Amino acid sequence: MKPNSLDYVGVLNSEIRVQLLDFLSAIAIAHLGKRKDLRKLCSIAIELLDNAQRHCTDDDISFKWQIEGDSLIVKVENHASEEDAKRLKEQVEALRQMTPTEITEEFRKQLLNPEFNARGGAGLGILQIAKKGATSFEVDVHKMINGAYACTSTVETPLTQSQL
Amino acid sequence: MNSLPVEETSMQGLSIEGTRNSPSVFYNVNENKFALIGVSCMTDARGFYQPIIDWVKLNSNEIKSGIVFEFYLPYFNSGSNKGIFRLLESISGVVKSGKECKIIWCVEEEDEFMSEGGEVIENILGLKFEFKEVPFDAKHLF
Repeated sequence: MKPNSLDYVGVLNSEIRVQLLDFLSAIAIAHLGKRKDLRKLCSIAIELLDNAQRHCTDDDISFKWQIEGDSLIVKVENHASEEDAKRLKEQVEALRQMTPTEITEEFRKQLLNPEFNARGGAGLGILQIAKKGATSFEVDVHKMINGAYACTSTVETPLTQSQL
Repeated sequence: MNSLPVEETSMQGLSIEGTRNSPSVFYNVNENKFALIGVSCMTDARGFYQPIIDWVKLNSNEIKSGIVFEFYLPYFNSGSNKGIFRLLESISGVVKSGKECKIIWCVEEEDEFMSEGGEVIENILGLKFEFKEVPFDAKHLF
């Protein structure tokens, strides 16, 4: 077993999401010590899980939290409709073209946008991940035999700052 | 029969019990205090926040000067961020009406997630928050 990692494969619902958050908070403190950005790191996982729960076509996901050297890697795989999978990929590709200033401005625009959808989809979570210090955000999307799409989101964040 | 000294008000009360992924929300008439306390990570943030936003808008004329709005949000997802922003936008309407209001944003010791979350909203809306340091896991203090 690799040290400093958490793997979960199975059903994702609101109760499991909140239990994972509690567990992550505890292992983050145990593995990383007390840091100013501990919640920011955990919030990256929250956003990915949130996105997976909101858009998955079944209840199953695969979730991985791993500390590798000086980086935190969070990976979530879920199944989604073609529309949601392609939108996620497009949003992340657009994000990767943005400068930090443009990300901050887009985040501001999204907050000020009066539209407030129950299902999300405006990309605020993706912008939030970038604002929390992620340096790499990859999305892999491919069509499965049953017609649904498999989405794999991988976010890498450096752990070199913010120790108390 | 003696009754408790509740001040006369035509305001509708507000009391929402928190869950593991949604905060407690209340307005205490006697203390003239509104509070939002706890983790906010629900998937349907609009369903949770819109009735609270509506409550503020509905009662904006009745809200008394000196009201304290207190926020203690250890975690919130992006959907909640939008809900909290929209709520504070409606509170800014009360502030702009000239009533004396205090907005307290609680931050656990040097926690960047909590402090930055408040600063972003404060800057965009042009409000003045009082940032209050609280100990780790301070939910029981409210």
